[in-house]
Amino acid sequence: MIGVRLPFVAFAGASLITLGALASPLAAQQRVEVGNAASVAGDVTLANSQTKKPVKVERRQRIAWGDLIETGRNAQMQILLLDRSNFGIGQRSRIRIDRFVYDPNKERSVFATLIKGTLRFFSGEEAGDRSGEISTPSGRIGIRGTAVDMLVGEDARDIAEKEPAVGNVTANKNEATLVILRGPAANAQPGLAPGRAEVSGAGVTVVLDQPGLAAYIPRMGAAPIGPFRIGDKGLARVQDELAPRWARSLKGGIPKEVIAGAAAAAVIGGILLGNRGKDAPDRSDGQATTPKRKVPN
Amino acid sequence: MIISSFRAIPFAILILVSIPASSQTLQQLDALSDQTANEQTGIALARQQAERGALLESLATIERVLTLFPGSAEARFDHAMLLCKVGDQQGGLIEFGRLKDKDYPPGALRQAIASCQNVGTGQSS
Repeated sequence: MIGVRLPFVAFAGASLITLGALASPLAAQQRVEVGNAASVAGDVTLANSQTKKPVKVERRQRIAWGDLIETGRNAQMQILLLDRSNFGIGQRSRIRIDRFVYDPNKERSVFATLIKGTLRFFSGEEAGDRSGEISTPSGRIGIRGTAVDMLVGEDARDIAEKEPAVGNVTANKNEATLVILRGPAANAQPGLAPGRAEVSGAGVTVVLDQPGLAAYIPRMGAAPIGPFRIGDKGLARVQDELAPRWARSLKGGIPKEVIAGAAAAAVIGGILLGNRGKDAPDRSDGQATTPKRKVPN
Repeated sequence: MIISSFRAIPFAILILVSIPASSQTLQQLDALSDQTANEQTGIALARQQAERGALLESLATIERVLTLFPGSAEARFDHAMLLCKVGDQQGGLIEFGRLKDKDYPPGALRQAIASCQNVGTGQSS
């Protein structure tokens, strides 16, 4: 008799205690693991509300809601999320995973904050409703089915302000945000959803829907400048910030024929973009007075 | 019996609390990470993903390989080509421009660059 009932008692007891645990403040602090550190190189640390002192991140380490990841000089890492979305974190960066909800074939939503440094996001599985938002000190980036690069801080300012479409604007070295869509292009491959990023600041939204298009928010309270096509030097530097180890191993210059090819691609892109380039941003204070498109938030 | 059943309580709690419903998938993520911890298996995985049309996943995979093997000429080549395939011709051509002819079969780089320039025009190989 006892032998028959005890498993039920054990199950019921476990259930009650578990329910109690879920209702307790302890449950609120329970780590919600959403991915792993899929590759790590250099000095990368993790901290959260329970682990105040940053600990070194090892490959395969679980990443959870609320984790604050920080990379050192010449360090980089990739976080692989459950839907196989990927965060590539460049050197001298700080990012927090705020929330990730994933229900296979139904929905995926990811929210993160790029506090400083460089971040590359690749969308994962195509199935279901997918959305994401990356916050920065000066704006928000809505992402959908995309490959997108984001920079926050001095590098964003230095790269953006060398772009003719941006020029000299009043920027904050801790808040400046540069966003570049990398793909996929609408004509890249049948079945591949075109990439799209919506860059918002000061109530204005700029849509990036072609690889190589960029938007720049110079400081908190400023509207995004763009979209504009980023130059080769700027794009190369973004790549170097994201992947400093590759950059160090690549010593060669860019052959003239490739620069010519890239220029040709930019020209083709310019033709595809029609008259977008004719709309110059207001350079006086970093406010884009005539945003190219406004999307309801 | 009683002792063993009570032992099951913390065990059940441990399972419910420490292993999320997606634990199997987290293990799969570890397996993906393991594959990219080796240069050749990582490159092979990226190519498999590209063949089935998962180009962004393939790009992420090859970037993980490059994080650990930044000098991999093969991975760099695939990375540049994948950028082209997702329509980022500018980025792909910049990356191709950083590669050295001597690391590849004669004419391979030139052919890849031409292919990249033709992505989306129906002439890519």
